[in-house]
Amino acid sequence: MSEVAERISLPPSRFDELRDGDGEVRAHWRAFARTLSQLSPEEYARRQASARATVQDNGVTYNVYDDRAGQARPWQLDIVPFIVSSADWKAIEAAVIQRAMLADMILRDVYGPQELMASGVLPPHLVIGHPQFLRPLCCSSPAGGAHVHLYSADLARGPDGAWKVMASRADAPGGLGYALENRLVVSQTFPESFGDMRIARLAAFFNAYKESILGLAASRRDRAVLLTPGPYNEAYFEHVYLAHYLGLTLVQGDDLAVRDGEVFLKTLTGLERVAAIFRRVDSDFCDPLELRGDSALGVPGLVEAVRAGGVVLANALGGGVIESPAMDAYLPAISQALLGEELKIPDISTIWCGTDWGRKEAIARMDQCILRDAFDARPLFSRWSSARLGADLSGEERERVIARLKQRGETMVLQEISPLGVAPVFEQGKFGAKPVSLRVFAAWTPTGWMVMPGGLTRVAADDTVRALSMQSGASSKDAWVISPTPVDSFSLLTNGGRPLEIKRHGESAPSRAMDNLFWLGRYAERTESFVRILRAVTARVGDEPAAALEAARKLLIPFSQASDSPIEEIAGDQELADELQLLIYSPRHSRGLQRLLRRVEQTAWSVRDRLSLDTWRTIHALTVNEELPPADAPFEAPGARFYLDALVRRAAALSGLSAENMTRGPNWLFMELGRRLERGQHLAWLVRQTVAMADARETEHMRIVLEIADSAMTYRSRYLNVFQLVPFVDLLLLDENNPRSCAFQLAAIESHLRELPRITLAQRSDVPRTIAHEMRGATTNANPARLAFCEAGARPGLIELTDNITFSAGELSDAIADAYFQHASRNRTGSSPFMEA
Amino acid sequence: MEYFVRHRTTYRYLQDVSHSWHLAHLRPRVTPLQAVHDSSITLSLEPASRVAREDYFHNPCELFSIDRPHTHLEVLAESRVTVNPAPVRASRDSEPWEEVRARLENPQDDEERDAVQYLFDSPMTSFESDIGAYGAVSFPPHRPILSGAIELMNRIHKDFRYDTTVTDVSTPVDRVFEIRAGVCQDLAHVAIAAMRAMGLPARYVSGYLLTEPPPGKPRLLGSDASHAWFSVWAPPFGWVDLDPTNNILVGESHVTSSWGRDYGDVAPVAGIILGGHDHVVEVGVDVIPVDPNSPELPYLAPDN
Repeated sequence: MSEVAERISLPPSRFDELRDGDGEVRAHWRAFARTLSQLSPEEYARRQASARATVQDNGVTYNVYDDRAGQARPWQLDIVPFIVSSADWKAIEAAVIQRAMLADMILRDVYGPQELMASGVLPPHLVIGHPQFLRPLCCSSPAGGAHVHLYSADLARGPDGAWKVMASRADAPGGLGYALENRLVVSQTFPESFGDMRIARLAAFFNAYKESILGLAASRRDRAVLLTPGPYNEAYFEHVYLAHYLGLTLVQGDDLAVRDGEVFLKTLTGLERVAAIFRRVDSDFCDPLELRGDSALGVPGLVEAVRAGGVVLANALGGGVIESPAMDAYLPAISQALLGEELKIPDISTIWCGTDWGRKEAIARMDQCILRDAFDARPLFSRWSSARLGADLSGEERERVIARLKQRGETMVLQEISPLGVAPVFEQGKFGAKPVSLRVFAAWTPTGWMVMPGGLTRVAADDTVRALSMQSGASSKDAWVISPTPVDSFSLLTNGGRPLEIKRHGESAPSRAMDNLFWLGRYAERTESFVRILRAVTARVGDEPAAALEAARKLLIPFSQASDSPIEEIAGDQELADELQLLIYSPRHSRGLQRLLRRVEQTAWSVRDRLSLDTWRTIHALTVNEELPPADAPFEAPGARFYLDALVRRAAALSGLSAENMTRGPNWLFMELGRRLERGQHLAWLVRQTVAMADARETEHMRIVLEIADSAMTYRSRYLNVFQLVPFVDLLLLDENNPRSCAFQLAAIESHLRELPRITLAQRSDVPRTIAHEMRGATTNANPARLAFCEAGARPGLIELTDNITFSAGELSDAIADAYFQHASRNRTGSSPFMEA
Repeated sequence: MEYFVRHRTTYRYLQDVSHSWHLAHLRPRVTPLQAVHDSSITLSLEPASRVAREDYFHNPCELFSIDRPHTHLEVLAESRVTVNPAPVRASRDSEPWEEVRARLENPQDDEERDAVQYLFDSPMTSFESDIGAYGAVSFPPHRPILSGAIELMNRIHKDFRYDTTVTDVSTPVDRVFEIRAGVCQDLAHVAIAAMRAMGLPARYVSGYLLTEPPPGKPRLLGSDASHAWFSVWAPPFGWVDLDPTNNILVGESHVTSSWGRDYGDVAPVAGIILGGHDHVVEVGVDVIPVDPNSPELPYLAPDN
């Protein structure tokens, strides 16, 4: 057991989680250290790799805004758990409950009677000067009374082993979903230890959290939703994950509407009442009418609904006030005033510089401390953090800081920081020790606060004090709390109890999600069609350069744009090779393949909660950023063919999966509608582009189109190697038995439209069905011989039909949007043409 | 002086607006110098919901929403108020600014606690430019706070050009400071930022000016729309209002509507609309003296 411990070298003056002062492995680590020493380094590396693969396949990401590497970054997980002894946990649990209670009581006071300020316990500056003090919420009490339903505290150990609180959260605490995902992955990575060591389970906590909030709602029959800022938020994965785990509908602000003081979800079939909102959008963004006007994330009128008591928000709006570092300086006094107790675990030592004494301390001690904005609750040294080490300041900066302290000291705090305790990590094939902090969560329940026995452990990216922000490249761990008694293996995922009622469909679907699924279907199909065109052209580049050039001029033009004459930009073989290289590989080509793949990925990500893990993984495989040749490298046809072949297979896997595995509900229906519409439109376009004008190379055109439309086998089985326009047009446009024909798509669309609800006025107007019916009628009544009829070098019948399909497809898409998706954009209006005089 | 105030806001949308929500600060508040006899807001459409309340600063405000498609909305606010002349203040009798700051470090009563919130930057007065250094010139050591504030107002009036074409609602105060121009709202924000940079409390006041000046007096700037100025907390006098646009202490020709930390707290009408595509807003303001001896309201020519 000491073998592993010996491999870990320890920075000086740190608390060591693993070993005590005599170098002995601490008792609560022994069992796990024994497991580790029994694993070979290869086996250990294998487990880490497998955990990483699971994390990536599951799409666990932590997005970083304006990160150049792209929006989704894989979640970093170190598989060695952080182990907490029963005794330590008892103390942590009591301290976090005490703080959660205080947070709730403070918010109750500052949004109510404000006695803490009147009695002088709490300087009013820290409340009414706080940008997150939301005045419109004053004098209203949240439904159910509780302000805080979920509270988190980040704990770390100082050199003496004593825990300190680095930060606390009472507005929209994050990390719960990541903690859960870490647990699932790590418990599978070390099944032997996890089973033997009596590790406390998490499910009961989540159940209590959810049930307590639902218990406050006016009616359990109404919806409970999880409100996310959306797919661009750094923690979107967690929102998807939590919504799924807790059985909540994932919504964005646009999905909700306030009517008469109540909140509703906009679904395909109209408005459905929402009783509880699990809120993951910061308070000030929640209502553009009364809070931040520039927020696109909120729901206009939500504050009024809160005042009317029509909805439970968890957490209640306005919790940001207690998160500021300045508040930490007064927490001991508040604890005495409200509870008559000392803080069980103190915050890192904090002095508010809004008093004479505070300013003098700050000026005297800044070299050993950090200075920070009084209300800056961002993690220390994360991006945009205001924290500065006093020792780092230049002479000039120092003077500026001192001037600000003297003039506006109330906007600053001084904080003492000490080296954080370290825990064992496994990185790049070897063990080491890194500073860690532990985020602990507490949930409000009607019978008292409950602490999640575990938490999100975060590992600093390096050993400096600039540590522990997930945004600056840190990693995470699971936290194992050793239970003094046998553990309860209750799980939310296998809930027994009362028998369930049989249901044949899910709850009705939010219209925004359906909009995105419709577009996911369209983009996925568009990708497949485009890949097939690229592949057909690429296949001819070496052997049939003339055919390749001809096809490129007709088909590599701006997508779905009809044109009677081929474009001449692609002058010769070299231009074609360059264009293909760009279209296939360049991430910047506006109509290139890579752009299209990003669209598929982003659209899928925005409906991640509605896709099965397998579907998500298939989309991930299709869109994953692999090592591609640079866009300015010379074009290599064999490599390109290989890549395009792989994409065709992956796209087919996706359509196969949705055909075979998706339940026939609205999700499938809209994705399928999108796919059919896109394919029908694309086929009409393909035929029009290639054979609308009579041309000596017609046979060649027909062959390539049949190949792109995956209908070559069918054609050959019917007509052998004789290529004529009449059977060609019939097979691709009119034959309802060919799943790659235009007519087949139109028949499918007509039948899908019959499945859609007809509830609202726009839906009952039946515009989509009328358009689809007319489109289908045009193909069923068409005569293939007339379509093929040629007059003065053109085929007027064919042009009319294909143009008609292309145009009607656009109309149909709009009509579906009008009837089923809410698409009105939200704008602000002001008070005057320019402003006040 | 008794006034009839009419403030008409008209929205015209290019396309149907399916829903709209509005928050109006259009009814004048009662102040120590101002009595409000009656006030009302009339909407051209039947609202789906409508709630009148008082905001955190005790300004009357009204929330309403409209839930059927429309391309036109008119919000008409009408009030009758009496404004009493402000008492004459000897600015040298106000406390030195350092003492005001020290006093608010440890506020003792409700008035002082309330003033604390006006020490902090608010969304529309946050600055990174040298506004602080600009303001500091008016506050040499031990100067009475009101003397400093009046000088600051004089300087802003002199240094900044009144121009309705260079800024809009979202222009940051730093930009106004850089171009040294803007409308009354911008000048108020500059003054507030400069005061707060000194660690001194300043708030934003929205209101109106008498439309037609008394015979022989010049017409004041900003009288055809709603107006704005700033107010400084100057013990022992309490809050004193200053109008940097016209370089005068606020008096009998100013009707106070609302106050807050900045424009964002008290915008006359803020709205969120669904759809509409593009929109135009027209505003008409009339402030007409009422002869207290005549029971009739003054005759107002219907505009448009």
